[in-house]
Amino acid sequence: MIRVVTLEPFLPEDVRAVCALLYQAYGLGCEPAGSLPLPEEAERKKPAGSYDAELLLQEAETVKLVADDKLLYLMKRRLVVPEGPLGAPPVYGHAQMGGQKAVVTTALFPKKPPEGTDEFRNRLAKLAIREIGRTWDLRSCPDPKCSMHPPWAEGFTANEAPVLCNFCREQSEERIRLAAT
Amino acid sequence: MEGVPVEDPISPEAQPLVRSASELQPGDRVVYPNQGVCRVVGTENKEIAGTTLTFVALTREEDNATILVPLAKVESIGLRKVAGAVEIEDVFDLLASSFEDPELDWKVRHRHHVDLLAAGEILGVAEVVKALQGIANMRPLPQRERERYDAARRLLEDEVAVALGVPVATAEDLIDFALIPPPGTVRAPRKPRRLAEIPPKPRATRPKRRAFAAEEGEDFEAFEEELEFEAPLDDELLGEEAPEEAEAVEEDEAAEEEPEAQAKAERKTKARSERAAKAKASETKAKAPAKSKTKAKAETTEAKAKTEKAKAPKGKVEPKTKAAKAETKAKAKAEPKATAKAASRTKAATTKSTKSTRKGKEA
Repeated sequence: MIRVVTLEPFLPEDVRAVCALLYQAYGLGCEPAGSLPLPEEAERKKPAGSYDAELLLQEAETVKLVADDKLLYLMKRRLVVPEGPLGAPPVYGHAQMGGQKAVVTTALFPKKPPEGTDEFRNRLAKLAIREIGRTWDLRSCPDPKCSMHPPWAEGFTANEAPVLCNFCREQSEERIRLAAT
Repeated sequence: MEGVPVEDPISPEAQPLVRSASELQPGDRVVYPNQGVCRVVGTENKEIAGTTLTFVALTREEDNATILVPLAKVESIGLRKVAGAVEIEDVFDLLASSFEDPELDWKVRHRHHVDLLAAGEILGVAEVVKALQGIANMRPLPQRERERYDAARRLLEDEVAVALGVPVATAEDLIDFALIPPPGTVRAPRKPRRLAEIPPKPRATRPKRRAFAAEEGEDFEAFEEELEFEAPLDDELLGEEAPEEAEAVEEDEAAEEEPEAQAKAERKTKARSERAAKAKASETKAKAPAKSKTKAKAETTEAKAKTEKAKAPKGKVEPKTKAAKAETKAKAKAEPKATAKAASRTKAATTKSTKSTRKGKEA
């Protein structure tokens, strides 16, 4: 089961649409699980109002989860990750690789389309699919049509449909089949 | 960086190979080629097929699988320590460099990628990821290459995560950021500073097998020699049978024409003596300047014909010609027969000698 928790206010229709699209992508039950506050421990001073992605997943409150359940946080603040040799990448979301929690942010979304539109929902769902996929240990996909493609790439925004490529779908099905429960 | 869980800080040294098991301590992180980052657990003794062997126990960090490496094989399997700062910089430099034209021959590409992954160097793994990403930018990857891309990515991300002390998801973002820059990012087209080196494959030394191969080669040569002789022998046999048959036919003909042949011989001798006398006469005439050589020749031939026609009776002309033909045939056939027989004798002698040498060798 995938549970979707909002850390900031979202339209309930958008959350429900994201749940429906997640169910379509993975064939697993998905439901909204309420809202929780942002963890203060994860807040960063630079840049102001941003949150450390990894720390947020560690410190955020959780809802009741059983084995193999996945928890997806939705938020609007900016997330950051440590810089690499080429600088810091844009962060659209973060996940515990092979774990249970993932987070998606709309901070880097363009102002258009606004919330409540299908385009916004598709884009949010595509990010949600990517981050939930990472909790099943799926890695980045070179196929630009796949939801596991890096979200800042041109192909990711050009292909709106929140779907997985054949390879990633087979991988995810295998992981779900081998799950404990 | 606040709150970033850093397990092991990046080591400034290069990635040295593990030369002996004594270098490994429990808790160390090593990279096993094609397996990924492993943590050393310790040594274990196990009894296998009646002998007690000592193994170095490793735990693969990706899935906690246990790997047992015999102590004697630690040097040869290519275990190495986790990449250092220099290697990580080289890796990101390679990932951020401009895409080169991919190798179009999939066999060559496959071999190169397999060699790079088997070598186990992090730069080689990054090269595989970069090359396959370059192909994926042009067309969808085939299944096998997609699997290899995934495997290479996992190896690379796990090691980069350990080397930089960041979560795997962050390492993945950093690698994606280097491979696929966001729109608007300007990077000067450049070539990587360093590429992976594939170590030369050690040539297998199999002395016993080679000696056997050499013997086989000798046998094969002898067999070839036999074949060389055997093939013409058949021809010889055929060739010998044919002249024998021809001889039998000629003998029968000769027995029928014996009285005619005697008369023929006498006539021949007479004709020869006459020709010789005429030739002498013509030579003396040719010396005279009034007559040309051609005229003289024509005259002599006409004269010969006239004398032959006058002396020889008409009914006995045919046996003459038949006998002459038979003689020429017999001569012509006797020569190849003799040469074939001589050749077969020499070949038989050589086969005997080769067989004797073979027997000597086998002895």
